[in-house]
Amino acid sequence: MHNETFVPTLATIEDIRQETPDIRSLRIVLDDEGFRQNFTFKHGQFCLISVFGAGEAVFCLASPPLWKDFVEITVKEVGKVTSAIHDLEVGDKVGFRGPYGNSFPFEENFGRNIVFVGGGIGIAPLRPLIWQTLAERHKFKDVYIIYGARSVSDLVYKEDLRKWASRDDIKLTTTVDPGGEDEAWQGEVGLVPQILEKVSPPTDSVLVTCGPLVMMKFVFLSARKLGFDPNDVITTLEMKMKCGVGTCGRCNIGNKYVCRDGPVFRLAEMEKLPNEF
Amino acid sequence: MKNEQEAQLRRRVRELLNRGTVEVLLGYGRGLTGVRPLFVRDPANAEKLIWNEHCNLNLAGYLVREPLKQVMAGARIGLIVKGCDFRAVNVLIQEHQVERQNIYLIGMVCNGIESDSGSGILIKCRGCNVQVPEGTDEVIGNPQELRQIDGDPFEDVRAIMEMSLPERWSFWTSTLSRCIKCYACRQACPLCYCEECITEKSRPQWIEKAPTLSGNLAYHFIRTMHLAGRCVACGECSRACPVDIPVDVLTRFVALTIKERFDYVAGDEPDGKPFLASYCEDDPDDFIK
Amino acid sequence: MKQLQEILSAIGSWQAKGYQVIAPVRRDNLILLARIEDPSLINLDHILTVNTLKDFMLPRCETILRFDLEKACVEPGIDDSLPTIIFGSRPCDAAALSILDSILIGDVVDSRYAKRRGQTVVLTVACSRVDGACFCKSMGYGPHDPTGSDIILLPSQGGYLVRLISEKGRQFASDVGLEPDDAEADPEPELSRRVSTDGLKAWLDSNFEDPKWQVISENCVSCGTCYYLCPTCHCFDIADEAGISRGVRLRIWDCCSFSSFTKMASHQPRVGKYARYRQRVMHKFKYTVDNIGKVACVGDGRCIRYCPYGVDITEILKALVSGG
Repeated sequence: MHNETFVPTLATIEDIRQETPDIRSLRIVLDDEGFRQNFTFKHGQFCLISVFGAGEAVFCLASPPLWKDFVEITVKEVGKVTSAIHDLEVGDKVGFRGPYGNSFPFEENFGRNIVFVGGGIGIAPLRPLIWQTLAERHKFKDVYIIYGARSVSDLVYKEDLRKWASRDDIKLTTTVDPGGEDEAWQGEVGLVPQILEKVSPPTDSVLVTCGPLVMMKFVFLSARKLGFDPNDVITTLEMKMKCGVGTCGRCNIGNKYVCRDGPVFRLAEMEKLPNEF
Repeated sequence: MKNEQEAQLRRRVRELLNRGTVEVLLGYGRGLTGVRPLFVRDPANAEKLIWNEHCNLNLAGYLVREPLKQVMAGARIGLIVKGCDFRAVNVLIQEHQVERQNIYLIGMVCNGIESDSGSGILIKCRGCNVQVPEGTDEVIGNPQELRQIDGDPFEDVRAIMEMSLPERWSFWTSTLSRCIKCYACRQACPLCYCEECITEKSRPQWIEKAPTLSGNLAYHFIRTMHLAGRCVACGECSRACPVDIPVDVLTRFVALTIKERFDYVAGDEPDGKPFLASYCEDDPDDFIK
Repeated sequence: MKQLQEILSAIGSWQAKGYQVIAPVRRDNLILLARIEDPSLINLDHILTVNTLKDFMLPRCETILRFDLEKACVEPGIDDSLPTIIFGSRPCDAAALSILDSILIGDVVDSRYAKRRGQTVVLTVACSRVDGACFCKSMGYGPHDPTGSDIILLPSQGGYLVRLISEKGRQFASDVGLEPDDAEADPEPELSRRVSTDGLKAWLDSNFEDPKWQVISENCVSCGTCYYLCPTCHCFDIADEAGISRGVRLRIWDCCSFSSFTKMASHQPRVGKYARYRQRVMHKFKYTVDNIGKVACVGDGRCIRYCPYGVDITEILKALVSGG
């Protein structure tokens, strides 16, 4: 990283994958070789990607740290920067700043069941942790993945989903909202929180979730209902961010800055924060 | 001298609140640094209302902001206006931002507002023809005691227009380079009510966000054009400016042009048409026909 | 003791040594801190300047980088910070720098701010007068408080006493031959405005949801005056301004009273004027205390003086902690 604050390093888009009609994943290679070789991050951290002229936006690092030489981000077209990213092509340059933020607990969960609950593009921040967990699969008990989207075409990481489905050491459940299924659909039909209750994983598991805000609120309720300890329910939050380091002042929830003190929070911590997210 | 008008105002507000005619009333109160808006809900607090020659604020902007905007969705509110402030209420009615029946207007008979700096009656008061506000729900004050306020309400605008073009450019560039884009002028303006201001739009971004001279010129000139035919010349924008930019000279210049060319004064008639929404068959320009 | 004239006439020699001097000057009806060439224009006949030291340490707009899309290159913005003397600002404004320092030169260092701070000597002229909006004493500072100053000039019998406060101040003084005095200064002027902060933090800790927030914010029209004139408010935006192939990335002041501040394409977490005003109060009197152990208010009173609608922070703090 540049030693002047907020100055990004240049990076090149190596590959683009269209995930859904409005979501694409970008594989990004840092241009500076020294920086690239020393670059490391933890699952759950985020970066800021800039399209020069449009600006900078925050994205979770969506590839695991164990995949070397590149990082992936997954981008839904919602605003100025994200639509500029959607106009980019392979070989185009972007600015990269990061990694920022805290990360998901990992080693402390060895020996336990892990339940991943994702909704829509919200599975992106869970993806590095899922792959890391699978890389060290023997250190965990059962691994559940519950993933849903509005419709079949809104499911991201279809290649990952196929790989996970083919393994017998993962209990994968995919679901789409009622009406979102197509004729070939063999997964569940129902909202993610309902499917979580239906799967009903053992409550001594660690539950890691991310998705649309409404979904998360109901996932928390379901987790509570199933009997999960709020210390074992972990999520990652999205707020408007500009600086990434806790000084620009806009991402706070109470006295916590999501960029610096988060983005990963336990439900037990969130319950102590003011309801302003 | 006893302020009979203020006493009467307090009496009436107490009655209106006691009878439930209005749920809340917005008038003038005293702050530690001068006159400020005062929301009155409890009839007992009507005693805190003031009325004097320093009640310069145009309170109409609160109609389109929290919390009155929300209150008006289900109840009637009271508002204290001078004749000039009433013009802003009229523009808001004409533009369908507020409904007349949701507002109980108390019009104050006004002998002109004194400048806080001690330089006499404000320029905006000169030539006032609405010292007795007509069309409000009630008028408080004695029209018999009025003094006519003579003079040119656009004297400051004309002084700047009389500058040579280079002088005028240098005046505005030096003045507007001070702007810090705090948007106090916009937020103080009773007619700047857009949910999303053009300054906040990012796709496309029309105006530079930065408070640089070019970004400042763009902001103030676009704001001026957005107020064409709408500015009621209340001067809230300049009064609010922390760095003393005479923002209202820009919008009042346009108001003056419209008055001279079309004999139109924004908000003069409660059921009048917005300036830019009206045309006449015998318009001398034929492009409009 | 030195006469003001002696000090002013020394300023030219500081400039000759390569320091840029920022000092209060009159511009139209305002007294502003600005870079000066001619020391005779310095005006010390003010309570407070409209602008604060923040203008020079964390400017309202600065270039983070320049980019050229055709050449695909990015260069950091030109750093124009020179060795700087800030002369004639007041103790509250200097104290505000000590708060900004804790925030911006902490675990993460804001490189541009840190560089400017490192190159700046703050030479405060303490207050011999205050006005009805000043409440520095209530925030733990005072008209002669040296917090944040490198050198402070204390009024004494019509002249000034030089007190060297920091190592940087001592170095500068020896560099330019400014001798310290140890005579006794005039007593501090009395402040009429007082607010007790007893119980405030405890109240804020447990009353995020309270109907009072709606009431105390009624007059606020959500402009940025109080933020932009505040010596400790430091929130900012990062935005690109670009032509077809070249452009700049800027850091620009931003403000929690604007609803665009937290608005995302998908979601607005902070809805309502009262919630934005609450953020301002919470940030100053609770969150910053939780995070750096200091209240982010120095009692300079600009927010009270310049609010177009009479919003008064001391009155609000009293209302929050009072019963009922």
